[in-house]
Formats: sequence, structure tokens, C-alpha cells
Amino acid sequence: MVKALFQKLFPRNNSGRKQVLGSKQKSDRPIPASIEQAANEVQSVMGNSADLMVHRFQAFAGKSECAVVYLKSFTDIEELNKSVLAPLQRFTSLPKDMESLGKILPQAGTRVIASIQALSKAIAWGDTVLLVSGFKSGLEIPLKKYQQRPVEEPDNEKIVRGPRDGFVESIWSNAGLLRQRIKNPDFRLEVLTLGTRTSVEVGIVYVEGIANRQIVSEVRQRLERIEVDRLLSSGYVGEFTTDSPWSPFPTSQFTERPDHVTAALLDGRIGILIDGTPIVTIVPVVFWDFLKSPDDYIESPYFATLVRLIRLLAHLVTLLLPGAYVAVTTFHLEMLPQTLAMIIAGARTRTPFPVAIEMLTMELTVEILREAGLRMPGSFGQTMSIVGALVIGEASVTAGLIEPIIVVIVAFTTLASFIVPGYNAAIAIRLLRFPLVLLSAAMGIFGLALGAMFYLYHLVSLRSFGVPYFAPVAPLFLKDMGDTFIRLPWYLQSRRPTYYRAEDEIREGRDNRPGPEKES
Amino acid sequence: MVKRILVFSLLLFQLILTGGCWNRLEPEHYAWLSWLGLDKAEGGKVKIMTVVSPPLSPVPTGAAPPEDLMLTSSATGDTVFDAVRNINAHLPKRLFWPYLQAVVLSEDIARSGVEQHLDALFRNVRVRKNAWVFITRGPVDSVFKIDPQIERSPAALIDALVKAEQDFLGKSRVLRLKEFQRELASPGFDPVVSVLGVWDPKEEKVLPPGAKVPKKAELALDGSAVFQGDKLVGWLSPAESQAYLLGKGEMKTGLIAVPHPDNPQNLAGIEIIRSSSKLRAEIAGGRAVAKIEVKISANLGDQRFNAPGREAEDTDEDPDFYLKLGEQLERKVKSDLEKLAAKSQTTFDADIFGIGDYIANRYPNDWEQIQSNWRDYYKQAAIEIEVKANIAAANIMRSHPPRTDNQEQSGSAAGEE
Amino acid sequence: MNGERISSRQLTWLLIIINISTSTALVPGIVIFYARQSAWLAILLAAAAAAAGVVLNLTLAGQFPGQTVAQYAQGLLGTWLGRLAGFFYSLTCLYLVAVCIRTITQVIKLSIMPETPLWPFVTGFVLLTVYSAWLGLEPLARAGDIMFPFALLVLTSLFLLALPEGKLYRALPVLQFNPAGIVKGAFPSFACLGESFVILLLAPALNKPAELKSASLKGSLLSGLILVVLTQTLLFVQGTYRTSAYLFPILRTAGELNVLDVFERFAPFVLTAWFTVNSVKIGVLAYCFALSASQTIGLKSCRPALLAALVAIPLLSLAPRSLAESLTVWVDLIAFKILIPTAFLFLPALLLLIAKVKKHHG
Repeated sequence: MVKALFQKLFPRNNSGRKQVLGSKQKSDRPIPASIEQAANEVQSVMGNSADLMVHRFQAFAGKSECAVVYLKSFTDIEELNKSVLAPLQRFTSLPKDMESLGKILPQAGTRVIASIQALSKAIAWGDTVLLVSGFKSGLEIPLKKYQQRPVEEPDNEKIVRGPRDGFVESIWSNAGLLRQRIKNPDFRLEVLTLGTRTSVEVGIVYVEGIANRQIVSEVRQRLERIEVDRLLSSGYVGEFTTDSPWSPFPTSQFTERPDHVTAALLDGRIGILIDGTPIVTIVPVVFWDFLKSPDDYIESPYFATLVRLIRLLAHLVTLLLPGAYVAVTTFHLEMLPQTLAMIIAGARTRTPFPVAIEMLTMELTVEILREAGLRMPGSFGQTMSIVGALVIGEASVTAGLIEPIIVVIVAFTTLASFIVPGYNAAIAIRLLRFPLVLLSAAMGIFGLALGAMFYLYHLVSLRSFGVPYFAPVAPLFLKDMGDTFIRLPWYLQSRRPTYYRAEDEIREGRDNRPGPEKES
Repeated sequence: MVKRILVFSLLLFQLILTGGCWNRLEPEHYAWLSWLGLDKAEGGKVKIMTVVSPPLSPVPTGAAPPEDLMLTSSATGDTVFDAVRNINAHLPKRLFWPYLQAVVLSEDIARSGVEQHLDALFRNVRVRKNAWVFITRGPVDSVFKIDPQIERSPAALIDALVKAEQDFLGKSRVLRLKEFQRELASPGFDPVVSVLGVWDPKEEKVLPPGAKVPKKAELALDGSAVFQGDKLVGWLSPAESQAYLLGKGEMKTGLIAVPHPDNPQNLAGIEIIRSSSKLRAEIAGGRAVAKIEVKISANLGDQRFNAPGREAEDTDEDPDFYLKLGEQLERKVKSDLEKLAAKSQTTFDADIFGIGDYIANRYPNDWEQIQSNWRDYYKQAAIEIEVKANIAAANIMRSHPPRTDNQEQSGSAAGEE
Repeated sequence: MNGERISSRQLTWLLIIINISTSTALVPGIVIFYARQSAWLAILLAAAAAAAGVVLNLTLAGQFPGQTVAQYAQGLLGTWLGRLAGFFYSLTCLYLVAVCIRTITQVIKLSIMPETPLWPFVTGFVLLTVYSAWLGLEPLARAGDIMFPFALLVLTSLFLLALPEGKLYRALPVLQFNPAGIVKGAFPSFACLGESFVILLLAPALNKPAELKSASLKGSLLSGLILVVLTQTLLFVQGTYRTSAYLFPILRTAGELNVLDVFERFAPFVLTAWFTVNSVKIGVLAYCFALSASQTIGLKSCRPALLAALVAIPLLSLAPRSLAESLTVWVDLIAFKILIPTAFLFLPALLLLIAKVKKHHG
């Protein structure tokens, strides 16, 4: 009923959508035989763009007039001279049509195009088009030259002992980095072109025979369904493909590390590469994936287990500690040991505001400091945020505005929120602690539990591409517990996680138990 | 989406409404109640006495801590709760119960029955049920006028005193409010409660009831009080309390001096390391039959040679000596316990070992029959006591180098401790 | 909403949660009060009777695979009487939701925030309940997957901490012969275990229908067992007299713990854990209410019914004027003596009888 009302009030305009998005429909003419005319038409389509070049020359021993059309900003001119112009000068006889010319030209990936629209699109994509007078078609020659930075270790995802390469902005280089690791014909890369105005290549990578087919086709469908003018980063794709757009929790994982993506692919997950961003999206994802780091599989199982438990604790601390402190000090002081309670009481005798207000103020201050540190130019950032934290913390305590224990709690919470490897999960948690502080201030520990239960129900109701978000804890898969909170040694993890529903579950041989050869 | 917006807006709405925070009470508005004393006042009224503790300051202020940490106040009322509220006539902060350390009951109130007065405490969820319960001989006032020197904070004093009692002394039965309540609730139990006195540092003894409290007086534990039901009926001396604790299996450590096996004039100080007791009881042949089995494991603490001449050899390596010493201990504890049990049956008429509670739990059908006449049954009950002791070691192997010949020794070869 | 599937293990765990989450606090005190030392016997009797009732319910559900009671009641009793039966089930669920919310919020309020009025607690709890039921059965079952181990963990650690205060002779089960007391004590436990009637509504959601029987019986019997263990442990720690003196002895025990002389007063923790586990139970009951109501009227979605519940539950919850009234009249009389026996025994027996007769004739 409410829904019907809502729809009446805000009708969805489904019919008008395509026209708004698609570029203006132009009449699609064939390429004229005259080079002059063809060049003029391209120039008019591209609006006389300054970097549009039309180079005319005589080829085939002066028998024929030719032209190459290309964008100066986007084309490898050296390569153009070497592998297009030079051979054309050497050819003596004119081939009978464009197709046979493409066959004799020493350049891979050429394609014959016939319409003006295809011609201008090819140029916009960075290809060079060869026109020969008299032929009513053009030859598209891929001579794109990207501005590309070298492969280097990502700053935001450093690990201690592990590979030092990271993704770059080109989808093809990124695919290469993955191919380098998975030398297997089953590795699949499907590329879609999305973004009606930006034409971004989006690649789906997975390993055939491991990744679940249904999930792969679900990913493909969701990507194909996207209709938007731009796709500038992985966040756009994440938001357009998520199962529940209003959830604060991320249902896809972002990484810059090829080894991370490789491991995910081999577990039956799917990577989404986007041209123009070094960040690769991994789907499907479960909540606990954000607590894992590639480090865990490099260091010893004991240490990895300890660190994972600490990360889980840090998650809980970030979420619950500010609220718990407010609840305990305003309503349930008796839960604390006597000495601690008396210290808190002693500290509070000097401060003018209720605990909840102090807590919220300080948490907001920390968020301001964090954002400021992020935006401040260069080396300023760190210094300023440290100074800010010290000055504000110290001064407000000395002035008696804030009790010192709040500063301790806030600092600890902030620190804890940065422990978790999944940055997007951590910010969700950071965000969600504020309502909990408010609820705790209103209803004590009952309010805290109430809010936490809301979050829990929301979390267990989430799915990421059909995979329950809280698996393997809820629903419970005991078999997969070996790599969730703890990390068992590799030789015991002979099966892939069941919740990703891999086609092939086995990933190890049976007799993997390491040790010296046994005498029999 | 409508649903989430709906739910969250309702939640938010609720939050704003509940912003009043009825129960909100910031810790700085509390008066931290540490001790509570109950006494009778004139005109059938009840008098309460309180000690509140000031909060600690985490920021070092440089100022010297206040001279007097014993902030006492008192009030009277028709009931305990009434008196508690009346105290706010002059106490500007709200009494905060969760850190209550001690409940001190006067002899008057204990003799007239404590349950009705403790009701206010048992009902209140905020009262700390882990507080310790004490009885005073005479009125409670003297306890609240002390001026402790060693542990000056009243919030820590009682815990320290109880800890010392349990870990080193073992001659008074300190129990918590919840345990007191548990024993009061059961008809087959007559509680025994620690007695709190005031130590006179000049006279070096516990003050007699009603005497004026001198300067620098400390608290002292002075044996135990025996209840019948919820009424005080008598006192146990420290030595009797020690036997009682052994019989109940509640002793943590304690020291008992027993006669030396070779010569009863010489004494050996036995340090009890562990003890446990097992009670078994039933109704057989129309009377209650109970058996208390005490197991003790102890160390030889020191020896004292009163007899002229050194009669005892240095027997540290002699296993027989320890066996005999153990028998001495068994005999001593057994006779003490038998005396105590007899006293409880004749003088106090109080089932202090909880024999009735055992029967009620294990033989509920029998208990139904005799419940109303339990006092008579208890008087007639046959209480058998069995003690098993093992002296595991001496605290040190040798107190002096082994003698080479029979040179004379004065009688002070006690082990160094 | 109809495509939701839960596994048989999830059903077992949900049943245990439904059976014991409220009764952990309520039942031991009552049972020990009446049956004294024979409390264990009383609960075992109740568990056996409840298991028999579950078998009855299962037989009925087995006659109509893939349908809930709200659906086949109309076929059995005719449209109007069938609708009445469907409404009865939905109203019973709604009533139980309201009563549970009332009891829990009241206990929480009394124990940790005595000066706050009741309605903010009730409102918050109702919002949570409706939200969880709104999300559907699958999330509820998943929440159960988390909450059941959590509840066991809390209970176990609570009793491990309380262990030093116990006396063995208090806990050893003995037979105290008082039939009246045993029956009186067995009845509330039976009523608590009788909330298993929700399988009549949940049965079609099972992903492997063949396992319905074993899963439900396991749930019902395990709940009885847990209650027995719980009761004996309480006797062990507190003794008969003190346990029967309190309505919620387990909270007492938690409130009086003392760990290392430093940590005390675990009551807020335990209350919170109790509340969180109960929220799953109440969510399932609210879901059952909405399912039954919408199927009775013939709606496709449960959600309009839940919107109605948003208003109805607080009104019901806030109706009793005191704790005593809510316990003696609302819980003991209406819920335990009228609604649950009818929903769990009488109505299924009647429906089964009619189904058999119809089958015989047709």
C-alpha cells in the first residue's frame, strides 16, 4: 500500500531513460570514397578537436592518395611511422580492397570499418584509421599509447613479506599481472564496455572450473545492466552491482594487490577490473574477508590466528567501546571494579558536560582531524594531525572540558579502527558507532544491545551476489571455520570455502602433511 | 527502502523522546557508601550509620590527601529504608550502594532478629551482595569512630582486613551478605558471623563494648557470633571459630599449636595449608545422625621446647615424626570440634554446621516429617567427627645444623620464619 | 517471502531458542518453588509430554506437506472456521510476543534501571522485533546460528564462575515424593516447551522436509535437557530455599558473582545476553504471526501484518499494570493455561481428527 502510494508520488520514468543517456543518434553514413570528404566529415563529428590529425600522403608508388586519421594525444606516432607509413611507401601495387590491404600490413589487430560513426568512434578510442582514396572503407589500426606509471607497491596495502607489485591504471597491464600468476588456459577475462559517455572497459576475471557459473553470469548481468554516463572508479561499479544499495556495509572488496586477487580467484571468486583505476573489485565477499590479509598466509598459523582475533576485537572495540563507556558510566557504574569506578568519578567531578556529549564531541574531533590530515598537503598532514590531537586532547583535559579517560577511549577506538585490513568495512564500522553512543546515552546497556542487534539482523540479512554476508558463521558452516577466525596450517585446508560455491571444491592433494619421509 | 527509512526514523524519533534519560546519574553525584551500620535507637526506631568514601582523582593535583578519610553520618527512621532516606537531610549527595564494603549489625539488633532489618538490603538491587557482614558487641558506634593508620581509606580497609584474616589468621568466620542471606533463608542453617571490634593501641586489646574510643584505634576481628534462626544467641572465641571453620571446610590457612608427640610440654606450630570437610547426615532410628569428615594438609611451622633439656631430636628427616605429629593434630582438632558441636547442641541450640540443610536437600521426604521439630532433633543428634591430617613438610628443612654430640641446648631452637 | 528455506539444523536451534530463551529465567524458580527437590523430575515429565505434543503436531503437519496450518485449516474446517483457526494462531503468536517483550523489558528495567519508565524499552524492543521479522525467516535463522552458541557460552561461563559457591549435596537429584507439587511444577515448564507449536507454521520452510521430524524432536528434547541441567546447577549454587525465593534466580546468581574480588555484578551483561537471545525468539514468533495472519487473509506479503503489529504489540505489552499482574494473569493464566495448550494440543488434535475422518470418507 505504502509502496503503491510511493510509486504514485514518485513515478519512475523508465521509458525516457535511454534517450537521456545515449549520445545523439546521428545518421550513420558510409565512408565516402574521397579522402577529402571523409576527413571533413570526421572533423565535423569530432568538432575540429585540436589534437585530431589528418595526415595525407602518397603511397603505393604514388599511385594512390592515402591519409591516416588519429589523435595526437593518444597515439604512438613513432610506431605509426615505423609500422604503417614506411611499409605503405614500400608497397608498389594497390590491393583490390581494404581487407587485403589489412592482410599485408605488418600490424596486428587491424579491422576494417565502413561507417563514419565507426570511424570517429575508433579514433576516439585512440586507434588510427587509414583511409585510401577510392576505397569506401577505412582500416582501424590499434596504435594507442597510454600514459602509464610503472608497476610499484601500493602505498595503502603494504605487507611485510610478500610480492611488491601492484595494479596500475590500465586494464590490460592488470590482466597481465594476473596472467603472470595464473598460467592456466582456464583463466578467463571478459571485457565489457560500460559508461555511455566514457566508454570504459570493464573486465571480469575468473578461473573457469572453479568459479561458480551462476555467480559469474550474475556478475555479468549486473554489469551489463549498468547504464550510466561515467564509470570513473571501482566504487561506481561496487555501488551499481551491490545486493543492497542502502547498506552501510560494503558487499565487494577492493584491493590493489595482484596476489590478493589471485588468491581470491583461486577460491572461486571473481575479479572486476576497470580501466583507469588501479583498484580491482572482488566479489562475492563475506564479512570475515575484511578481517583477512595476505599476510596471514605468509606468517605462521599461530601468529595469523592471533592477529585475526585481534582484528575482530578491534572491530568490536571500534563499534562498541564508546557506547559501552557511555552506558557504563551513566547507568551501570557498578559493573566496574571499585578503584576504576572511583577514578572515573574523580575525573568527572571537574567536567561540565554529560559523558555522552563529551564522547560525541571527541569522536567528531578525531574524525575532523583524520579528514584534515588526509587533505593537508604532503608532509603537513601527519604533523598537523599529531599536533592537533595532542593539543586538543591535552588542552581540553587541562582546561577541564573533557575527562582524560574519554581521551584514552577515543584514541584507542581510533587506533583500533585502522587495524582492520578492509578499509571500506572499517569506515562502515566507524560510522555506525555514533548511533550506538546515542542509544547508550538514552537507554544504557539495553540501548547498546538494541542497536547492536539491529546491526546484527541487518548484517545477517545481507547477501553479496547471493552469498550470505555472514557465512560461514551465520549460516554456520563448521567446515569453513578453519580459515575464518583462526587460520589452520595450509595442509589442513584441502577444500575451498564452501560458501563461495566453487565448482571444484578440492584444492590440495590428500597426503600433504609435511614432515620427513616416513620409513615403512 | 521505504522500510529502512521508516524504521530508522522511528528509532530516531524514539531517541529524541528518550533524551530525558530518567536514570542518568553521573558518577560525580554519588556519595560512595562504604560501610553501613545498623543499630537500635530510642523510641523503637532504627539508626543507621554510614561511612562514605571520596572519589579518587586521576590527575595528580599536588595537594595532600584529606586528613580525615572517615566521613561518617547517621540518621534514624522507623524502618531501615526510612533511615536511609532520612540521611539525605544532611548528606548532599545520593547514597551509592554498589560498592558497599561492610554491613555492621549491633548486638541489640542481632538479638532481636536481623532478617526484618536486612530486608531493605536484600530487596534493593543496587546493594552489593558481596559486602561483608559483621556483628559488634554492644552498639555499633565505636566501629565508626576509629582512626585507622595503616590502611586509611575505608573503602579498602575492610577488604584488607578480611583478606588478612582469611589468608593468615583463620580465627573468625567472615561471610558475605549473599551467604548470610542464603543461610538465613534455609531453615536447616544457623549462621555464624564474624565479630568486629575496635583495637585499642594503648591497652593492646580489643575495647570492651561501650568504652570510649581512643585515638588511632584500629579495627579488629574478635571471634564470631552464633545465630539461632536470625537471632543472635552467643559468641565463639577465636579458637572456637577456628575449629568451626575447619569443621565447615572454610579455612584457607591458619595456625594451630599442638603438643609435641614426644613430650606434651613442647609445642609444635602447625600451619594449615589446605583443609576440606565433608558433611553427611541422615535420619536413622528416629534421630539425626551426622558425620563430619575433616581433611587437613599442613606444614610444620615452628617448634617450641618448653621442657628443660632438649627432649626432641631434630627430626626433620624422620617420617614417623610427621605421622605422629599428624595424629596429635587430628586429636586436637577432633576434640575441639566435638566440644564445639556439643556446645552448639546444648548452649546455643543452633545448627551451625548446617546438618538440617543437608537432610533437607538429600532426604526431603524425611525432612518434611521432622521440619517443625528440627530443634529437638538437633539437640539429640549424634554428631560424629573424623579428622584426617597430613603434615606434608616443614617450612624449612633444618632450623639449625645437625648436632654432632649431646651438647646442652637452651629451649629456643624455633625455626626461623 | 515464501521462497525462504532453512536447514534442519537451523530449525532445531531455533526451536531450542524458542523453548528456552525466556524460560531460562522464569522456569527454574517456579519449578523449584513447587516441586522442590523433584524439580528435575518435573521438567523431565514436562519434556516428555512436550515431545508427545510435538509428535502430534508433526503428524498433523505431515498430512499437508508444504502448507502451514493457516492454509490447510481452511480446507479442513471450511472457510470461516478455518480463518478463525488461522487468526487464533496469529493472535497467539502476537500475544506471546507482547507478553515476552513485557516480561523482559520489565525485568531489565527493574534490575538495572529502576527509575526509567517502561515504554522506551518496549518501543525499542518492538521496533527491533518488527525489523527482524520484516527481514524474514532466513535472517532470523542465521541470527539463531550466532545466538544459540552465544547463549550456551554465556550460560556455561556463568556457571563456571559460580562453581566455587556451590555445594554438591544440594544438586544431586533426589526424589521428593509430592505428586501435587511435581504436577504443579511440570505445568509451566510444559507450557514453555509448548511454544514448539510454531513448527506448524515453520514446517514448509524446511529445505529437506524429510528431516522435519528428527529436527523438531531433537529441538524439543534438547530444550528439556538444558532446562534440567540449568535447574540442577541453580540448586547447586543457591540451594532450594533461596532459589525458590526469587522469581529470576539466574539473574540473582549473576548479580552476586565475585571473580577474583575484582569483577562483580555481571547482571547487566547477563540481562543483555538474555535480551539478545530472546530477540531471536520474539522475532520468529512475530514472523509466525505475520505469516499466519497474511495467509489467513490471503495476502501475498507478510509486511502489512507487521505494520499492524507495530501498533498492536506496544498496546498489549503496556496493558498490565504491575509485574505481578503481568506474571500471574497475562503469563500464567492466559498464556500458559489457555493459549499455549490450545495451540499446541487441542487445536492440532482436532484438526488431525478431522483430517483423518475426511481422508477416511473421501
